[in-house]
Amino acid sequence: MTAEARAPVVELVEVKVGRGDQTVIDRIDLAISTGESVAIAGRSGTGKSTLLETVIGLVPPLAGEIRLFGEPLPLPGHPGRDALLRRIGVVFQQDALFRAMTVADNLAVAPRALLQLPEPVIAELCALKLEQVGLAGVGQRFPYELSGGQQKRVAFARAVMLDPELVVCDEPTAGLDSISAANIAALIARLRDETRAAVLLVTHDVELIQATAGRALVIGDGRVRADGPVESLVDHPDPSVSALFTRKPLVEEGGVA
Amino acid sequence: MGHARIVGVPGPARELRCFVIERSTGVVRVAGEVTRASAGALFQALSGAEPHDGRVELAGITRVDAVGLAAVVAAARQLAARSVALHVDAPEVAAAVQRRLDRPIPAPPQERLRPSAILALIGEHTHAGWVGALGVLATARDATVDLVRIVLRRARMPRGALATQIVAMGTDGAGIISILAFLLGMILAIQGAAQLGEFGATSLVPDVVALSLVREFASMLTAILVIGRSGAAVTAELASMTVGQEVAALRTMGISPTSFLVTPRILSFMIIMPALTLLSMFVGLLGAVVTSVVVTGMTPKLFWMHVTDQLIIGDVWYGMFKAVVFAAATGVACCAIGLRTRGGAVEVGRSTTRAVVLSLFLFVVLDSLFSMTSGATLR
Repeated sequence: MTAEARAPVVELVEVKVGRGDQTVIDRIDLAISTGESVAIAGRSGTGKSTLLETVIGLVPPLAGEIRLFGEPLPLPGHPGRDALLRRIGVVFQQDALFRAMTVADNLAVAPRALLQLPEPVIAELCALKLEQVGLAGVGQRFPYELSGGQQKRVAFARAVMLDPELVVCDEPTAGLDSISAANIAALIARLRDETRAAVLLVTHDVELIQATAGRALVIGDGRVRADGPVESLVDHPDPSVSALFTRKPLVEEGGVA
Repeated sequence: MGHARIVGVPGPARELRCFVIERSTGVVRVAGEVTRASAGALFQALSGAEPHDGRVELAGITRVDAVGLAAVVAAARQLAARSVALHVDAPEVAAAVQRRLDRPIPAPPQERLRPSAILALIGEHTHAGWVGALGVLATARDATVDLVRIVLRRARMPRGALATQIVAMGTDGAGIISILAFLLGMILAIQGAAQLGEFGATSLVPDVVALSLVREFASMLTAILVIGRSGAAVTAELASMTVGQEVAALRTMGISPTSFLVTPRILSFMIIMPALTLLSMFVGLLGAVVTSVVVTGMTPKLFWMHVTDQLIIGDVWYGMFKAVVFAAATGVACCAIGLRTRGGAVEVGRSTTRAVVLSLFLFVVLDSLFSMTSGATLR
């Protein structure tokens, strides 16, 4: 119990990230503790999403070890793996809402399947979580009847349905207008402060990083180029890092980036 | 006097903080935390409580998570409906419960069908059927107009569109249709030999097989296969294009979806269906010949003499003409339903099912009309 409390929520030890024989990140070490919010930043195509899929067990690491809640993540099909993964909530870039189900049924999938809760409790829980994301009363609607920002918030509510200890978001503000994006940022900040859940964000949205993350990792050229408090990265000596935060167009040595 | 009951909820190691209930008169004692491991059991225990003094006390909670809170609130709502008050001793939890209780949760949609709802349902379905029928007719009209314009050289189909469709529907379908037609010919020959043999008339097998195959079964088999293969494919393709706003994109470019998408497909059906019908006539007869040679010992030459004696070229034309009509109906139905798909990916599947069912329905109706009007009399 105490050992678990001390252990980081997620820990990557010398992990090599990639798919098949294609390596996208040579080596990454990362530890996130309870209540901490970390952003993985970097330009498109640097392997951010693959890294995220590695953390949540969708892509096996090419080398190294992933530890969730102090325990190594077992291989697919091995006992204990699902129990660890169930403590994570994931918000996918494309929402991944079940289009054929109402919003309430989308939210109820995990409580029904995993906990066999009585229906009145599930209805109550859906109402509670929908209200938390500012969408009270949309339970009986279908995802396609909602706007993009609302769908994203439904996806968020579904991810935190069972109070996960780690919430992983892949580009949560991609394709949203600035007000919807600010809503999502506020949700993530509140989640971090109220439930003490650890948050892992993958994004290139600087405003989101500044609003929600205490720490950021910048990935580029197959390695971690910077790791530290967000404020410290603005005037980082590596121009490819500081450019992300100051939004200067970047010209790399030897030609146009 | 109250009775006490101890409920321990087993769970994985990290959830061992779950509660123990002691239920005596009007008091439910909960030690520790109400979390997702214990919430379901707590709800059952609370909502099943039958207090004598109209009051349930929930004592000893130290912390609740969201699932636990939902369980307490859901139980409180049920108790309130029976005029039983729920008192929670932990102030923070009580405040959270009260906040939730102040907000009514929307009632789930009415599941029971009242007579008025049944009437409304019948009305809705009738209306939907009527709108769908109008849509199919509108597509038929548009495609006919477009075809006439193409024939008169006032309009053109996109280059290569027809060829692409013909290859997809025809070349790829010819193999499976040949195999099935061969087997069908065999079946007809065997059945014919068995039935006619009772009257000592096995020599009439070629006549029976040739007539039934050419006038009826060849076009029937082809229609069913083409509807199942290509009709479903066309609907699914057009439906996903509609759902994905590709059709809307065409419209904004000033391109008519009818001439760009519908006409090539309907035309392709109308070329492919008779062609495949002709193929299945020949392959079916081939199957019948082989079987007759093996089963009744008839020579292929004799078989063929019977066939040419019995069949006139009009029979072949009749079978192929039917195929053209089936093809037009299939093409119109599948394109119309595909282009009128609304909603998401689920609707693509529904539209495809609907199109296949409607095409088969139209095929049977049209075939029975053919049989009634010309089946026997015109020979």
